[in-house]
Amino acid sequence: MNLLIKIINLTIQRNNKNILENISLDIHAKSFLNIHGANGSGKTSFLKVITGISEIESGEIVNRAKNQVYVGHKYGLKTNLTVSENLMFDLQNNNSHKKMNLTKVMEMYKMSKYRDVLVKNLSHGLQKRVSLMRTLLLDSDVWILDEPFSALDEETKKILDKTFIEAIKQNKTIIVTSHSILKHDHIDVQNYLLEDGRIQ
Amino acid sequence: MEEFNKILIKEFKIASRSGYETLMPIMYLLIIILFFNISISYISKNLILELTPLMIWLSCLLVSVLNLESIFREDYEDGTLDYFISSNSFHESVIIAKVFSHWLLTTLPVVVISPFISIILGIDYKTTLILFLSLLIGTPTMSLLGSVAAALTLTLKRGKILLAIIVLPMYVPILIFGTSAVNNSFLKMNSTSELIFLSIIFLLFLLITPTACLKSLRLSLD
Repeated sequence: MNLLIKIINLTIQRNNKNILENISLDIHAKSFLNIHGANGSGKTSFLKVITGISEIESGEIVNRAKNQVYVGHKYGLKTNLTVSENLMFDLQNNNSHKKMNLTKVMEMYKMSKYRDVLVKNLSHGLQKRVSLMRTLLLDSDVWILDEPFSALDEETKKILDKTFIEAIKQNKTIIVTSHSILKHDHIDVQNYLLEDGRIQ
Repeated sequence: MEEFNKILIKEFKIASRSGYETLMPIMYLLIIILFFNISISYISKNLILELTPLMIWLSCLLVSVLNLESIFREDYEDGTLDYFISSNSFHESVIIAKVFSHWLLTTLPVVVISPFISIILGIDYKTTLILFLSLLIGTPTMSLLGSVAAALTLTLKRGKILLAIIVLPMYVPILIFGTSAVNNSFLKMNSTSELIFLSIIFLLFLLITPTACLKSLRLSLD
């Protein structure tokens, strides 16, 4: 498998405290990584470093992914725009040629009836659905999702599960965080425990 | 340029659904000018006439400062900034588009209404024109400069006051050239050199601030 992201001795600090300490990890293409740990263990910081949102104090990250999509705790949606307007803006701003059809993704996530609804009028869970739809729509090589299964109903969890299976088949790399070990019947999940800023 | 236009359209769409919020700066300007007029009403009429264009200029500056915080605030709070940066689609052109659309939506209405206020308050047409031109060049410069400070104070809880403290001293050259141009015109003198200086400052900040702003945003989000 191709090495996609190489993390070498990564350390990040906040207020003179090491949030992440000496982390080294190889992330290969077509893999599914679950970084799990308790609240405050540094999962979000880890993802933000990989995505390039946060700077690193020491160490190195070699990211060979051509494009990536990040869905964090904040969904990056404009509440005064409709679902389709939000997603269309993402599509227009994306240079990938393999973009998926918006209607198709809407149907897949059972969001067609909300197409022209303002995001501010959607529930928290539905807003999360919209943010997750981006991953499919933009056809990015790497999906980086911060606790994707939280605040989702069973139906959406199933849809997301299916999406992950399809994505891995299409050589995508998926990095997620959660509070516990993830097991999947169809995907080989690599679980890493993040504790006290270190990967165990 | 395409990216620039898309962001402008998006910002206008969002603003069009925000209702009365876009009218707030104009209301604020009118209130400040009214207060100024009440406070100086006891001095001679000629002096009031001389002070009025300067007062309008200063009021526009204050309105501009008050609006600065909102350049990136919403994008930060709803996660759009994280999304942009992580997808590597956050460039200088995006910053310019954000600042320009913010200026168009919050400060341009104030600039456009200023000549009308000026004429209503009895200022001559030539001074009114110079007032309009100096504001048209000066206010986007203030937005550009203020965007860096807005980016730096983005994550701070009481960033609005700090933002004003950082930005106001840096506005001094713009204020001097802007008010000087208007005053010269009122005194029937030439204002061209002041307007040229204002244009140079604008171009200078147009070159510098997007990169500085991008770095400041990364620093704030870190």
